[in-house]
Amino acid sequence: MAVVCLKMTRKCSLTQVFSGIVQMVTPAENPIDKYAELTALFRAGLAGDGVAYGQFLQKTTLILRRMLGKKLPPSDVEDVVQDILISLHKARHTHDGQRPLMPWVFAIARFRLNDYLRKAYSRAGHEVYVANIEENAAADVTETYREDESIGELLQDLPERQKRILTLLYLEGHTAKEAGRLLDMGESAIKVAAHRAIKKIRERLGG
Amino acid sequence: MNTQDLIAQLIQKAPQKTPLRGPVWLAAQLVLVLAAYGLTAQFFLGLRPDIVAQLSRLAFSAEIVLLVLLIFSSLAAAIMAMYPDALQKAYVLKIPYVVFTLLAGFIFLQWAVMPPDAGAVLPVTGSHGMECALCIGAVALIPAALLFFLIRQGASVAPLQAGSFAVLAAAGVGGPTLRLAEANDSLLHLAVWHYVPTLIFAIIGAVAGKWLLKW
Repeated sequence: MAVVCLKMTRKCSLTQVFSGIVQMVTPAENPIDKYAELTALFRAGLAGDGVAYGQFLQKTTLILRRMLGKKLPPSDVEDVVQDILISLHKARHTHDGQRPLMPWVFAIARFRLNDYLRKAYSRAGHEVYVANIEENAAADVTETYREDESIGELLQDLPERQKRILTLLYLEGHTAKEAGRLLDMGESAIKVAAHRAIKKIRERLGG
Repeated sequence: MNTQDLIAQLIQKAPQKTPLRGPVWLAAQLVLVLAAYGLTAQFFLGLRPDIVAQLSRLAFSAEIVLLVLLIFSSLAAAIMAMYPDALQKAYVLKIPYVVFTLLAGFIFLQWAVMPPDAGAVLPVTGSHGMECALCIGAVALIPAALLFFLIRQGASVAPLQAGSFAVLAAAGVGGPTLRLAEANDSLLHLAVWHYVPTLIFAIIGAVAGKWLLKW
């Protein structure tokens, strides 16, 4: 533009030339202005405009879905998006509407995402542990290591409580929860005791 | 629940909300409260008899300055941690670590340059120890509770850090107060019964922050 201006009229002032150069070197989409509309909606929302606030949440939802889609399985995205929306709503008083909005939104989104991942990993770890117990239990109790040995014989050397737990779980078919209720123990305590009992049997069989 | 239903519910819950007061206003209020509290604690603990001579000693004055800096930096960091984006000044959250490292380095430096027979290294025989740590902790209790209450008004995305800064600022009040009251300049005593407990309190604050600053 500056060049055109200089060539065409030769009467441009220095200011015009400078502004032309600035326009030429400035990218078409300023990353700060990209979210100006969102910021304006949020600000209006803070002032009590419910419609603007709704639009802010709708637009933010789209951004969050895009962001989380890269990091989470599709089945989990909506849960985390909702969690983040609630957090944004709860924390809206910590933004004055003056400073850039997106770092604030992303800070909350990251916080909730990390929270979710932490819980998911710990849940997954627990599930693997339980699955491992169940897998071992099934293998140990159903497989015949020695043909002349009955299940009763396998349980023989175990302490009374462990024997009772294995009987309830694998002979009578109770769940860990039911067995826990019958023996007045917690569900996880039953699983741990069963795991230990199976380990003992396995050691005895030389497995 | 469907996301659209959630948004509809959130809109209904009156979006109008007064933003949190600015950090400068909060900091100014807290500084006034902590200063008043520190002065009251100083009044009860009294001043060491050689206070004038000590203040003219560069090492002592520098230590007091660093302790006061620790209070201010922790306070600023605790206030910033109330905001999810730390008001986009994340570096403020690192300053307390720098100041504490400087303080520890300063103590170590004094230790390193001290002549081996200097009485300032080892504590006087029969002098107390645990009382100092307990005193710092006791003085820190009320400001720590106040700071936790304040941080809970915000929405911290770094609750561990926020909790440790709150306790560090609170314990920081006890530090200079006790230093100005107690006539014991043994570096070993200061390290073991003043600064290590302060660090431990900060760690306890981090654990407390994890639970108390949930939102």
